Amino acid sequence: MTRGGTSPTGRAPVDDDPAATLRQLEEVRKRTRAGVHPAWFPLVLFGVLGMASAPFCAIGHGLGVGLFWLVAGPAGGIATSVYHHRRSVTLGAGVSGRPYWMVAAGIFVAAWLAGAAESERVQTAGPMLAVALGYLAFAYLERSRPVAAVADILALVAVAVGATGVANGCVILSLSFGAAFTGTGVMLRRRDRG
Amino acid sequence: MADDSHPSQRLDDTVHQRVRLGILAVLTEADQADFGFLKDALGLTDGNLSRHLQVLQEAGYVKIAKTFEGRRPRTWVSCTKPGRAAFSSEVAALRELLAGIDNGHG
Repeated sequence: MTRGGTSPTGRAPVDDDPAATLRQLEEVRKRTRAGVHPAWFPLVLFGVLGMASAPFCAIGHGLGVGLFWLVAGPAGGIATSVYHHRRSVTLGAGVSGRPYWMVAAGIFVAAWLAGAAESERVQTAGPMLAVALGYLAFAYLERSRPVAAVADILALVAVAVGATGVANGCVILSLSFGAAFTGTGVMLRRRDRG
Repeated sequence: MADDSHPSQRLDDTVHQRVRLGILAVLTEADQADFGFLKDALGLTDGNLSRHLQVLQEAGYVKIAKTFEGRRPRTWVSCTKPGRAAFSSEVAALRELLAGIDNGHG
């Protein structure tokens, strides 16, 4: 960071170029963020689980996929927590998992409530809309524009599927969400590895 | 009550120092970071980092916790709420100063 003269009190050096200081601070924050926010892992994990959930759409009018996520959701969350903890110990820096667990719980509750709705279209599209909005929240926590962009698009896809009542909507959404998150995760991993 | 003072009056001497600003910048992105991470991220020597961490700790802006991993000691640093507030105020004051310079009010 730039050096300047001393302050009138003589206590600390004063940087006399606020623009350079702000630029350098943003650079430090960006580098730290890139290190401690490895979004690729949960994106790939939950993307693959999303695609794996598609066959369960045929069971019990959506109950099958709900039960799939009752097991896969918490299991995936725990695997992600373990990954992040081990990474933070190795790296020497990490973030609290609490906000992420709160978002995940919100997605879970909203998705189950939507899945229990009377309207078949809400049952089909509602849970995935909850997931898309949840990922928007994750994108905010991660400060990730790619994740926000994908979540925005998937929210529109969920609304479109719900509005049109297209056949096999659950399968379409599971596969498209799963593929989109997996692809985004792979892209972020490649970008982070430089 | 609105603060009409010049932005330079709102710069906190404890925070307005390049190393300490850098430490707080790292800690506002990572909830906690260890001594080695901070040293590498900011390109500092052990002594230099220790000295600045002590200043921030005495001001109540960071918390320092020493742990052991097996036999290996590890020092973890995290930002306190006052520390985050002080950093945010500092960044806001710097932005105001910059806006003032850009508008020709120096």
